[in-house]
Amino acid sequence: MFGRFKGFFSYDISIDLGTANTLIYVRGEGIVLDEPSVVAIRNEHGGTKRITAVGRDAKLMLGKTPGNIEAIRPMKDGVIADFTVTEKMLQHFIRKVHEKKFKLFSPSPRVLICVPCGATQVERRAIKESAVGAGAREVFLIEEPMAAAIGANMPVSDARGSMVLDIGGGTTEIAVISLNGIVYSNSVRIGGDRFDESIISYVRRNYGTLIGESTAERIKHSIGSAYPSTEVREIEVRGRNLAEGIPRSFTLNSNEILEALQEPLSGIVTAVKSALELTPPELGADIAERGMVLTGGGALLRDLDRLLMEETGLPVIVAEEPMTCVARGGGRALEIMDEHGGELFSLE
Amino acid sequence: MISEDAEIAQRTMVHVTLSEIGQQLKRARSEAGLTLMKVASDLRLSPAQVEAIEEGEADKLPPGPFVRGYVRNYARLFDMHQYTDHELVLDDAISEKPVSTRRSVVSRSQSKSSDPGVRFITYLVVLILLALVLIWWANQSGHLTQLKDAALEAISAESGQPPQPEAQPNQNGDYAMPLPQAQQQLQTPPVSAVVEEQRMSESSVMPTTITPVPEEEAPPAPATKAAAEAVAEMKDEALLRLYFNAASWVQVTDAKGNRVAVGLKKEGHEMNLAGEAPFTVLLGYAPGVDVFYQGNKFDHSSYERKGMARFDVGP
Repeated sequence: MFGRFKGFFSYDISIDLGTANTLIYVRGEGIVLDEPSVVAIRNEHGGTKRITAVGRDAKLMLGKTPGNIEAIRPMKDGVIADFTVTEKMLQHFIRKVHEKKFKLFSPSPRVLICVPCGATQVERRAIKESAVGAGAREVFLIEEPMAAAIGANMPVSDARGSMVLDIGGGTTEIAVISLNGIVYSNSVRIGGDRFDESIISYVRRNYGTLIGESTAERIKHSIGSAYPSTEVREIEVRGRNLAEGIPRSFTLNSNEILEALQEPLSGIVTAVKSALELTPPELGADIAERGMVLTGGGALLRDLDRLLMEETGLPVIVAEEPMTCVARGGGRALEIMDEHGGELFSLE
Repeated sequence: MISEDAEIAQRTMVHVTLSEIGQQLKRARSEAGLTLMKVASDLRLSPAQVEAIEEGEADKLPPGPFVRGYVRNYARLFDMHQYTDHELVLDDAISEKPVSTRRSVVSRSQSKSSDPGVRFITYLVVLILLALVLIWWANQSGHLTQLKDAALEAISAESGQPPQPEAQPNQNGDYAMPLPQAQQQLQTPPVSAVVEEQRMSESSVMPTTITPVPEEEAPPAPATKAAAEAVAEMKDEALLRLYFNAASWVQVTDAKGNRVAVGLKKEGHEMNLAGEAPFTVLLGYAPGVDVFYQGNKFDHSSYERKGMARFDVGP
């Protein structure tokens, strides 16, 4: 009863609880929070743990922490790896979203969370319970590709096949949508994190140098590419030389990164091809005519659309603001749910 | 070379119409010496779709996000960075709502409990109910005080005041009580005369040890003597006597509908009531009340329900 009362002073929010970033969309206000899913925890004397930083501040600490502080990424492969830390992180983000407006009561919002379509029932339940633990009054779950398609303004309600490829930090979700429902979906555990890992291992193998996750991510953002290009871009990075044990600086070019990314990229291409194979022929024809839409942070990898276009022979389009598509789509789904009922997208 | 501190350029919105950008793309294509077929195969689109883009025919193309994607891919072929690096807004492309309301006809009929309207109505109904309960309670408490006043009146009536305006006190200060019908049929003389006669017969003829015969068992004849005995009993005992072994609410109504007694009586209290039989008796706590009618104990246990009892006493 009191929760409902507090609900009057809380927002309706949609959360894209991603492996790499957490985005929060507030109904009527848009994306209000976009922070890395990282929590820094300080181990105090007596075994107690205290949260030192969450989000952007905590990400700066990744790989740079002293012995008593550990920076944790509580999400792995799109699902919860550390329940308690995820709950605390969500709690922090929900409070942060509400602190500008409602200060008197602890927030008790209605929350819609996007989950990978490959998440098991146990994983979904864990996400739901962590949101409840973080103070949510009501929790709804929506499959990520559906939210991504809505966020990308795709005509999901039409009797036409729409294919969406959402490349997140931990997973890549592929779905064929028609009449507000998912006809085919697949989730592969390849995402932005795997790209970073591939870059780290490539640099270690070819340069004998160890670089951190943050550096690998920066390399990916700057010169990462999925398709050969006439323009070769370069970046200077620093890492610890394994033979000498001394930090060294060296230069990487975009062709090297393309080579490094071959393994995860071929995994995504294989998943897309198998999705096209398993799509009903009528919907397959629609997809062949209109093409597929890329969303998620991975869609920002240079020329990824061109790679998929070459491999599948279909038109491939990168959505506007692909990073925020899922959160925006979730927010829009929340609005539609209130207008037309929750069964429209079979929300859980 | 890109420095490590390179930031991703801020994307800005570029507003343009499809026909404008189509013409620019067509010009760029002809300058590059590319055929429509070549561009279509590069973009994995049909030549008709590429032509529609160049001619600005939005109705021949899929809705908004797709056209935007095609245009951007097309612009990328000719390194038109003003369109590829910024958010493209095509003012004349068919924008389609991602979720139509066609299916809402079905889902609209089902209102959720969390709907603001439903919630508001629920709270309104609860408030109205609460208000009604309060009003009822206020009325009930007022009614109770009236009942108490009535009970006090009844008690004061027992102690000497006439309980009902119809009851006429006779010369001896006793209340004139209506006789049972059987006795009335016997054409009994006036009560005062009979009482006088009875006193005389008791003192001279009747032994004191003789117990009075209950009225029901009294033979109808010889009439005069039996009637005299019955009236004598009425003289000694009240028509209805209630003895309270425990505190109980009581309400007694006679055959005429007059409320003879009402109120809460304490333990040990005794009530002698007179009125026209049959009496309707309502007891709040029946097991704690003994009822005597014409001197005989009336067993009301069969009428008891959850401690309360409502029954008629009389012939």
